[in-house]
Amino acid sequence: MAGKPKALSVLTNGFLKENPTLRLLLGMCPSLAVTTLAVNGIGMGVAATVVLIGSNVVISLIRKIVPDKVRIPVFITVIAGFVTIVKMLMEAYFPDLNKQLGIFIPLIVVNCIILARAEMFASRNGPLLSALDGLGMGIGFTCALFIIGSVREILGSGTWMGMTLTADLFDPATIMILPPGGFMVMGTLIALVNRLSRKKEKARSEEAAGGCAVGCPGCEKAT
Amino acid sequence: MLKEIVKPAVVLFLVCAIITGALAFVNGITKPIIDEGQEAALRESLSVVLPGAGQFSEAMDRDSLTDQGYQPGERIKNLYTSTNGGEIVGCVVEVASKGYGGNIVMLVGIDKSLSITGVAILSHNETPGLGSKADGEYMERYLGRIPENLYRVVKTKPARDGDIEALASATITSRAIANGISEAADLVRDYIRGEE
Amino acid sequence: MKELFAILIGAMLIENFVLSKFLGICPFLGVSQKTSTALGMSGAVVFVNTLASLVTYLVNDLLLKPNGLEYLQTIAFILVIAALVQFVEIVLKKLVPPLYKALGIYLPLITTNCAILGSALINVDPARDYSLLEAVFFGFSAALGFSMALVLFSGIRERLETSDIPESFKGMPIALIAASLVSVAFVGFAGLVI
Repeated sequence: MAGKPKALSVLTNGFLKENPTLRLLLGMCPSLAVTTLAVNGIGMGVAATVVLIGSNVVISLIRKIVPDKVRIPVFITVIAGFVTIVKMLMEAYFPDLNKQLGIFIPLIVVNCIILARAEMFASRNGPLLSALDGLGMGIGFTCALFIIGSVREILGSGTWMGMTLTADLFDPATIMILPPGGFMVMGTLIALVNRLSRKKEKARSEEAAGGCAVGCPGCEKAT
Repeated sequence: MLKEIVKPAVVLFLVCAIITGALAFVNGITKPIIDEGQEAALRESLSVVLPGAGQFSEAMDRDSLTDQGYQPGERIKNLYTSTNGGEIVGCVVEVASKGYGGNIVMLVGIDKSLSITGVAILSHNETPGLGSKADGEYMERYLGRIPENLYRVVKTKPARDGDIEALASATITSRAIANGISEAADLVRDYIRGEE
Repeated sequence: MKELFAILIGAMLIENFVLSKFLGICPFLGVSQKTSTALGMSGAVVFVNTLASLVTYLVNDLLLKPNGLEYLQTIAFILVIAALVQFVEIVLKKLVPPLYKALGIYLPLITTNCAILGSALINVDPARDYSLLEAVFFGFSAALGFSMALVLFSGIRERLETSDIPESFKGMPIALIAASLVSVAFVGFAGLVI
């Protein structure tokens, strides 16, 4: 992120190279909790994307007038505001999805991805680039959730996006939609991404593997 | 010196005030839609569990039921009655029964002849894949005439009237449902006999 | 008493925050490499979560609910938690330096721990209908459950360090697979009748 980032690379950065879930290992809680169905993954992803874009733009706009001392509280307030707006809109227009995602909609506030992007990108770049960054990260997050959700739904319920797929092929393994299945699918997917990317660039995979240990709980302190 | 303390406080306060204002504005727009949606969903569920019923009365809550001399069980939340030309068609009871992961909120439809016509779960927090299976087909066991001794959950094959087999690995959920429906049936039995 | 016991067992084992509700996964994976750091983090979480449960419940009951401002819950709670964490940090530093030394570095990480905001939001869920005592006790028990999972898991991870693991699974993936196996054990608690 050093130097002047190009608009296109800012957007595509989040898809794979810095995919927030599978590479940076941020926002693990919702990635594991709501992905019992593919459609929940999309819903969660879109909600987080809207919050990301909104908070990134606003934080980028006010970055010069916010004193350093209250930077984090201001960021959190802005993020919490957007989260609440998204929650109200979902309650009004998608009540069923809202019920499914439950507590994890308000918990977007403490999703490391949002605060990490505010700290690392939006507080240093203009509003347009920040919006693109939010969109790119959001798409990356949504895709990851969609993939995890699809795997768990197909194996655990035998359906995909609500359509029955495996009627007589095999009995769905309920454990895949229970918590252990979440951890298992996530771990296997990250290993897969590690393997694919290691073929391309060997050095990066080491860094990604240790990413959460420092990056995630420390995102408040991270620079 | 003073500026260093005052400025951050002012900025933080302003940001909070603006955000709160924005939230109040959005809330003003979405609140009526949310309430209306919930109301519409409730009306639809009511007519699903009691098919053929036309208009429903306003909800009677526990207090007004007690005032009228009934003894609603602790799980009863609301009673809706449906009448046709002054004649009672049936009742729907909203019950909240403590299950495995919090309250299971259900609607129980009971017609004039004291048969259960439908049960719908409005909200629950049961374990996905185990307790959550209680929706749909499982509920069909409750349809039909209300047994004299109400419902009881058994883990073996049902032996007597009112026995309901527990869902595998979801005994607490099954019991919560049976208790909720029993209380609803008990209340409506009193209510309809009282009306006659 | 019986209710409190049910809350304790329920929050620690049946609905364990980390292993069955997926709350607080980041610190669970982030600081579980060593048992000593896991213990430090656990202490900080139990302390802050109990306190935060008390304060957020009161904020909701005395300020938000009477004024019909429930829609401000998220924003109010997160600000209260952030302020509380800062406050605890200052107080501990001044009054109980040894405790500050033990928990200090974990305190700033707690604001973004979704277990704290999560338990604050669960406490005010109308479906639960908790009293103040029950809410505080739930906060305490849930944090205790979090700590138990964290410390247990750190023991497993210390073992993983020395194991021969396929290249692609090194680091986070194998930790997740191990977490999956631990959570299988916790699915077993789901049959517990209280």
